[in-house]
Amino acid sequence: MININNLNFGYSKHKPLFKNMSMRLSNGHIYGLLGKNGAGKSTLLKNLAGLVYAQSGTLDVMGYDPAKRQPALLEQICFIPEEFYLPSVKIDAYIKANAPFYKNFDHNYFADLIKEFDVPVEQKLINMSYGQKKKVIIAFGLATQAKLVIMDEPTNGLDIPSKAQFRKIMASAMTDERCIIISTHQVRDLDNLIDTVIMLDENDIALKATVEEITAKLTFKKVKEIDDSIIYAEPSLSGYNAVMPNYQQEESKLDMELLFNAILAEKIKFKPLFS
Amino acid sequence: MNNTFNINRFGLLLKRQWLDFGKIYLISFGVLIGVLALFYSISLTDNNLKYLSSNTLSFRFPLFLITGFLFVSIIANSYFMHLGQKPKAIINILVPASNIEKFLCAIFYTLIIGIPSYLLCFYLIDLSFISSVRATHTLTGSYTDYQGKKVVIDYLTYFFSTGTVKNFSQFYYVPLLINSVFLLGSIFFQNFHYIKTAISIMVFGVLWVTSTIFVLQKLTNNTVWVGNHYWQDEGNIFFIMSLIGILLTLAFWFISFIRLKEKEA
Repeated sequence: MININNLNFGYSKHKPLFKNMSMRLSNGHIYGLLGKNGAGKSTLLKNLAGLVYAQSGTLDVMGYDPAKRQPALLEQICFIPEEFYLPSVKIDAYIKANAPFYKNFDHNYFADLIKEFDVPVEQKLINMSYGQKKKVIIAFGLATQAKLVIMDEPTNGLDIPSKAQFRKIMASAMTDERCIIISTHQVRDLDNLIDTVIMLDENDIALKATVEEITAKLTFKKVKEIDDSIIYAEPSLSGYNAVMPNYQQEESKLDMELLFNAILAEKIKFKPLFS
Repeated sequence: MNNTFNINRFGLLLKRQWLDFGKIYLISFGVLIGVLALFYSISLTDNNLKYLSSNTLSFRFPLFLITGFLFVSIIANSYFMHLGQKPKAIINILVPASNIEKFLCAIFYTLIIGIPSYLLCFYLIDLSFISSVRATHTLTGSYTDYQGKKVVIDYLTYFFSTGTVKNFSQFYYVPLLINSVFLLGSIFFQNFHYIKTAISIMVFGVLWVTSTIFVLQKLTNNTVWVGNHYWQDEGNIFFIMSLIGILLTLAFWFISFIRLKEKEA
């Protein structure tokens, strides 16, 4: 679905954000995009949606070049930005003006999502809270039936019950035809939802692996003492939370936060495992 | 799917853009009606009408030019203003319509709707005020032309029937030029669009005029004209000015389109 080849991008020529980045993303997956502040998560998403232009390299999204902003591609992209604007109208007027651009827009599904998110339909969009507005654009985006769903920090601003609803909705929205990319700092919000982890660091992809692949190669567990087999460990109340090679094919649950810190701290040690 | 232009999609875009731009347009239009009505009311008070003269209605021409400039420039400068704010820009860039449709939509609202609606507004305000004055007052003058015929002049004529309006036909391109410059300003600058566009026009205007005067003075100082009379005919000068004006308008529209295509969020 998405092919990125030797992507070079930077907001200024002297400070590149991506250097010769290459990656392939397929449909039927929910990708979790992780990275430190300023690593380029949002920028990568914007490159995919054609909101910014690469300095060099090629981007192929469903056979289109996103930089050309062709309607055929735009109607297949659902982009939920971290900061967004909604006009001063009610939901009905918003839908009436925007939904016709998407020929597969599912009005019933939208109504169901709005009901599930408990969004007040009589209120003007501009008077809604940030969380409520976010629910509206998430519902709208998913109802477009777009094949590429891009979400930048989608759980920011959502209350605790809404985060659970969001996970449930996203899991049900996943189809074999869809590719969902979610950028987030709130890794625990998206636990069990993401099936592939993409980690950005130092102008490139530090890790791209499925959850299965990670748990097959690494094991995450609590240990009392650190030994040489441990690649990375963090102190915890009862000892250490550790990441180590999974030589015994043990089953463990991926601790995304621990993995994130481990990759950033010990990138060289992880590289041979996932190359 | 036609990714360049589709009439149905263009229609949808016009409807959608009305949600964003309609409010700005209606507020500007309301203010325009208020300002015009206010100027007419102040200028056509009972006291002024008691001492009716051929100059009583002369306020209309500067009023037409100033309010026209402000309305056309504000409408054009507001259209792409939202692209300066990332959250608004993202939503608008991702609307599934082509760049040409988005640009034509801007031309539709700021030019095809904007300019005629200004003319219609001025015409209706003028019609209502002048009709009420004509119902109670008359003011005519006369002169004898070279054939010895007596010509009667109506000093209370409607604005668009005055000779002045007809005599300025060589400047009819000016609203288009204003539209194109301010449309470009709205997409070129990230913020303070109107002020920055106005300052840019002033700076370029001053540079253009001073450099032209300087070059022409250098070229023509202590020289005698020996060519044909083409450049001494006022009509030809105005024709060339109109041509340059139209070419500049087209160039500014084209640059605006390119800027729209290249706009990042």
